[in-house]
This record gives sequence, C-alpha cells and structure tokens, in this order.
Amino acid sequence: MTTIREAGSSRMLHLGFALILLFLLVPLLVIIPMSFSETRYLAFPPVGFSLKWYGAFFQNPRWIGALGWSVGVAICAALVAVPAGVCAALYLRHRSGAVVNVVLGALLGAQIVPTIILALGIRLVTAPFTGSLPVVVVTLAHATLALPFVVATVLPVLNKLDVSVEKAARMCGATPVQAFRHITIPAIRPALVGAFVFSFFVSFDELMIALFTFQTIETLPVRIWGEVRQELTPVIAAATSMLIAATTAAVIVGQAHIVRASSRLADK
Amino acid sequence: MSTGPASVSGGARWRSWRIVSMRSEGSSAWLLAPAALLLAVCFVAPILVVFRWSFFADGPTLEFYREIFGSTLYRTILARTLVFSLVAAVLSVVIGYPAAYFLATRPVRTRMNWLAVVLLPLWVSSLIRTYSWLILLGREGPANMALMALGLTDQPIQFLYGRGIVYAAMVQVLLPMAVTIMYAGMLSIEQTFIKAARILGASPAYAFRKVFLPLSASGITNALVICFVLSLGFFITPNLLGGPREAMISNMIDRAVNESLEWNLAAALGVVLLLVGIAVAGILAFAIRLLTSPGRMPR
Repeated sequence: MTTIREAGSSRMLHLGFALILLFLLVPLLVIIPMSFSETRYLAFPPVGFSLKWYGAFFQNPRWIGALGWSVGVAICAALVAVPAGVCAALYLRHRSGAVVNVVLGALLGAQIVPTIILALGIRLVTAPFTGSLPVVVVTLAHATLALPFVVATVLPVLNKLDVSVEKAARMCGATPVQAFRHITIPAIRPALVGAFVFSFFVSFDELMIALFTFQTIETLPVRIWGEVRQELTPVIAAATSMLIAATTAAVIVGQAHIVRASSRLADK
Repeated sequence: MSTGPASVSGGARWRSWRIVSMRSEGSSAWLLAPAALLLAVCFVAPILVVFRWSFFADGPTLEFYREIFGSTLYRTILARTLVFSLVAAVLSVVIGYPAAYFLATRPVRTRMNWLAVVLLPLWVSSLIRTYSWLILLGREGPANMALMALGLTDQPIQFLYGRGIVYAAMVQVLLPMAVTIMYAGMLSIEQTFIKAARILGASPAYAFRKVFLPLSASGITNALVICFVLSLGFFITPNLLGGPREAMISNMIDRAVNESLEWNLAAALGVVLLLVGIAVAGILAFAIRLLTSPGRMPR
C-alpha cells in the first residue's frame, strides 16, 4: 500500500530525525577535538595535537580533589539508591493499578520538582554545620534523585522473572532471604549493574544540591561551574571531554546490561 | 497458589502452608520503608523547610511575599519564567513529535538502539551541555569559523547572551525527555487502527490526523506538562547563555541565597516557583484534556 507520497514523507521523517540527532549531539562532539588543541585558548579548528590540557587536569590538586569527591559521593549514593530501589521494586512486583501509580509518582516527584527548591531546603537546614553532615546529606539527596531510575530498571526485570523458581527454592526449605540471595539476585544481576551505573551518574552529574550545600568541598560539576564562569580554558574542555566519554561508555555498558537482563528472561 | 502440593505427605503439607504465607511476606509494606525514608528526608522535609522559612522570620509574616509581588522586577521575572518555560516546552514537543513518531514506527531492534542514542545526552549533565553551546557559538567558536570560512559573514555573529540561544539550549536539554515520553505513549497505539482507516479509504495524512494524532494526545500532554515543569527550574542555561534580561526565578533564588543572603526571600521565591508550577501544570493538563476529550474525537 506504499504510495509515492508515503515514501516521500518517510524520507522527510528520516531527514528530520537526522537533524534532531545532530542538534542533540553536535555541541557535545565539538568539544572533544578542541580539547586536544595546543593553543592556550580554545581554538577551532584545533591547532596541532597535544595532551597537555589533560596533563594539566591531572596535575592540578583542585581538579583531582573534585574528581575524588564526585566519585566518592556517587558510589555511596548508588550504594544507597540501589538497595532502597530494589526493595521498592520488590514491593511493587506483580502489583498493578493505583498502588504502583502512587509509589512511582512519589518517586518521580523528586525528579520533577525543581532541584533548586530541594537544594535550598537542604541548604537552609545544613548551613550551620560543617564536617561530614553536609556530605551525608548530599549523598542521600543524590540517592533520592536516583531512586526512580533504579525502580524503572529493576521492576520490569523482576516482573518478567518466573516466580516458580523462587517458590521452588522456598519449598526446598530456603528462607525468604536465602531464596532472594541465591535465586532472585543472580537472576536480576545485570539489571542491578545497570541500576548502579545509572544511579552513579545521576549523582556524578548533579550540580545544584552540591553547589548549595557544600561550603568548602568541590565536586567536579561544582568546580566546572566555578571555572566556566571565570574563563574558558582548555582544561575545562579536557575535563568535560573525559566526562562525555565516561558517560557514553557507562550508558552503553548499562544499556547492554539492561537489554541482556530482559532478553535473558524473555528467552526462558 | 493454585498448584499447591496437596497430595503429598504431612511434612510437605506444612511446607506448602509456609509457601502460602510467602505471598503476604513478600508483599509486606516494610519493603517501601527505605525509599519512603529517603523521600521523607530528602524530598518532603526540604520542601517543608522552604515553606517554613518563607512564612517565618521573627514571627509569622507575609512580608517576603509582599516584597515579591510588590516589586516590578520580581513580577517581570516571574512572568518571564512562565513564558520561557511554556515556549521551551511547546518547542520541545513540536520538534520531538516527529522524532518520537520515527522511533515508534521502526522495527523493535533499531528502535531500541536509536532510542539509546536520543537518550544519551540526558546522561551528560546539563552543565556540560550548556557549556558546549558556549564553546560552539562563541565569537571564535566553530560555528562562526565555519560561517566565515564559507564567506557567509565577515564579522563573527553574536549568538550568545540572547533569548534565541537560551531557547535553543533549553530545547536541547528537554528534547530527549519529550521524545521518550511521547514515544512511550505511541507504542501503545494499535497499528491496526491506522490500517483500518486506510482500508476504509483514508489517505495516509488523513489517517494520521484523524486516528494517530488524537490517540497520541495523552503522550503529548504528559510531555508538555513535564517539560514545562522542568523548565521552570532552569538555572544553568539562563545564567551561562543569557544576559540579565534572560534571568529566571532560579537565578533570583541563587542570588538571594549566595549574594544578598536574604534566605527568607529565597524561600518565598522557591514556594512561588513550586506553587505556580503546580498550578500552571494542572491548568495545562486540564485544558489539553478538555480539548482532546472523546467528545471532540472523530466519530
């Protein structure tokens, strides 16, 4: 039933989609070649090829310190978010209707409400404190922001998982915890890895809460934010290029794990 | 438990009894406790704190709200925030719709891969995405260099620090979200409906307009409302890419917190942002639902 007109509109559709991808990706891809430029300013087309701005990043204790804080907070946030999210997903498993909508809605609420309001509230409470309290609060807040991603990753896989295997374990005398540890967790492991990666990056990229709460500590986004507003040195281009590369790699790994998790169960 | 081992010995029967109780164990509400605790501490509590600071200084007061609504500056910025958010949300939906349609009409495997590509920018922080515009469109950035090399202009064009670039960057940040939401809605549309319309003699365009478009309306509504609410809180984009005439409420909150140290005022601005967001999103969702209600659908 394909007519000439349909073929034409389909070509338009392809073209439109390509344009949208360009619009989404080109600004990101342009930075990467510029970060290898030898010049002291950001040049396009890049002049020569040099790794000196990457060297400058790794020799600067402030950048390294910021990277360390970001990685540390992100790992802790993911370690909180994944178990909490998996518990919530276990509760939602095999349920439907209003309960699921209410719980998912509440979890998404933290994502949709402007982060600056949460950041402000946290700042107002933690302002008198220094030391480890702000770090703990920022970590928990990042974990909260990551929760909906964990549930969205784990719940579909849990729902596909055949309950009879767990039931068999229980019949053979396993306690609920044993059945969960030895049957459920191995079965959903790829989804857990995916959820961990996504949670890590939710925290790793987060600026507002860290910016408002930390007074002396800098995470990577806070440091980039401070630098970008001063001057545009190639060191920022090197830092952001590494972030883009790391994020892309992690998303591919996370996505592959999730696809594997669902296809593995679908094959059964 | 329809397949309980009823025919087996006493010991097994006792085990099957335990399995029956497994369902109630598995569904117990304590599983929600960690998530609920996180939400209470990091979501509900901060909002309550902001409310409290906005209404209490030495005693209960409305002076901060009076300050906001009595000042032309804040009223202008509030109105600007609403306009920016609405325009950015509408643009994201209009541009994102064909992309969502493209994805939804691909075979499953290509669909998943392209979706991952569209979603990729979502994982790169909006700070970096905004910074990349700053580089791309700077005076000596790639865009100006290319235009000058092509002879299209002999002077670098001033792209930055204006309304256009703020809209472009906002749409770029929102677009993956808009596409995903509308795409998810489109997946649930029965392709047989379109086929039926075609068999009954509708042209592809007519079938699309009269069948597919109305069925995808709820996805459009969701995308529009979510993009709008997300835009209200934009902070990085207007700060880095706009001038003073592009400042939005979040930038005012930042200024009140970090520069003028008027924390009560910042809290009141936060409450206004939250309530205006909820109100406008509600009205928007209601209005669209009214416009696309079954009474107006093709019969």
